[in-house]
Amino acid sequence: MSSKANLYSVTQLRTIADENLSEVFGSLGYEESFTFTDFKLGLGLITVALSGGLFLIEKKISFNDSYYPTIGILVLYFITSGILWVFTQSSKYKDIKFIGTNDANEKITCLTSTTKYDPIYNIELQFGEERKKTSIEFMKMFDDFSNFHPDNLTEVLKKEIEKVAKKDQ
Amino acid sequence: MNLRKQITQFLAFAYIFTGAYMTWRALGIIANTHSPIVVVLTGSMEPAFQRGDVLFLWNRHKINNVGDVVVYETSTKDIPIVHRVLREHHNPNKQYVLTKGDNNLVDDLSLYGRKKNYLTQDDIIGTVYGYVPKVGYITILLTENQYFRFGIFGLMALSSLFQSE
Amino acid sequence: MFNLVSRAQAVSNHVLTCSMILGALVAISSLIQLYSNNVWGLNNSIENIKANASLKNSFQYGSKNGKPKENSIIKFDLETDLSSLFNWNTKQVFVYLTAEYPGKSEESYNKVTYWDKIITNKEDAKIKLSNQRAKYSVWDVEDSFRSRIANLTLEWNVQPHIGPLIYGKTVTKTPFTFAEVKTKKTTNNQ
Repeated sequence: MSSKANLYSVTQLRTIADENLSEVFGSLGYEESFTFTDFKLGLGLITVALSGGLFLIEKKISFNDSYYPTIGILVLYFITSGILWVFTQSSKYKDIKFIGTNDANEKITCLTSTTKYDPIYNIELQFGEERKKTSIEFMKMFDDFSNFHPDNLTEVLKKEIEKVAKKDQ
Repeated sequence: MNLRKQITQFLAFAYIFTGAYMTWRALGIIANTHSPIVVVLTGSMEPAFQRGDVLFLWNRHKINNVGDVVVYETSTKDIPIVHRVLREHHNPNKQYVLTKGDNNLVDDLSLYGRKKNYLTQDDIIGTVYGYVPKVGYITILLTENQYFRFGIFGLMALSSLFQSE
Repeated sequence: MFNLVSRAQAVSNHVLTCSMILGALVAISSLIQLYSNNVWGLNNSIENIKANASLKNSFQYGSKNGKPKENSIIKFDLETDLSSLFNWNTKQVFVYLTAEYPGKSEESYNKVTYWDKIITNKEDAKIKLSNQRAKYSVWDVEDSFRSRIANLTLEWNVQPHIGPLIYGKTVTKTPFTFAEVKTKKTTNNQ
């Protein structure tokens, strides 16, 4: 497991756990779907392209001549940033950390969050309409040398997934 | 997979710059000037404005009054000049303006360049309406003092190294 | 990140926010003070205006292409008290004596400055001048002032330590007529 976390920073612990979700779900038979991620990256790249374009226009054309094109680009930029903000920061979307499908083409969405001071990793799993909430202490995922161990997390997730699977049968 | 992570990091970094730049340009459009905020570089308006003071500009009005402090560009100087309007003559189509620095003995006639007796609206970048002292000194240090510049860049580089850990 | 860099960042952010709020408070409070002192209703007395005119041929006096330009200069008495413009956010008061007069057409308008002064403390804000000579030799966009009537007003600009620049003028307007250039004939007769 790649990076080491500061054991006193909940945010950092969560980030590292989030980074390992893909691998954990992989071991449970889910393949990550990148559509949502790529959509966000695309929007991000558009904002960069727009500001790059505006910068070039500023260098080449005088302020008065580029007045209306500048307004156009600015409007596009702020609309794109707004949409991007909704999908990355708004409460509905900001916790989405993993979207994947299993062999039976069943979709799973995993949301994770932490509160400021409790060292607890809150997990919400969405199977279509159905939602399952669970949590795991960070102590169970990190050893004293801040190395990440996925086994306990895998176990917790597996239990929840199996619960849903049983119900379906 | 790794490419996505790199792009994400790049975007997070880029957003600091694009956000600041686009906000700056939006301010410019609102105030109708290419530099909505300027830093004073000379002492010709002392004691009102000193080197390093930050001025907020507005350029949506047609007429500048006598007593307004305007920022203008001329062919004879590289840097924009911040001076006060001493006289103005206008009709609905055009305004002629003569400026002078509070701290200067004579008006700006000699600064305007050959055969030019007045400034017109095209020369003026904006009128000063707001003032914050001293904070612009950072940009003066950045552009004029290479030790400060290297020091800041060094610190930024170091901090980005620490942050990636 | 629980290290020195992030702490420094948090502290500097906090300092920045606090100083911005403080700056805004200072600016607003000084504006309120100016309003409550009714500084837009200050009075002045301008008397004993003596206008004079002469022809100048130098570029510094507005002459263009070797054409002589009529320059106007005045002498005046002035009395006013601007001390209520000074409060804790006043860095300087720029006070200037302007003359406004009509142009060739109905819609055109001219305003020129004859005299100005930088005042940096309250003690100097009581102004009493007698037979003061104008600081500037004034010319028009036209070649001559054509003996038009101009109105003299004393205007002021408060330059704050932080915040918006504030402008105003004293309420009294004092008219005077631009002097004509004495022709060579009369000069010879003298």
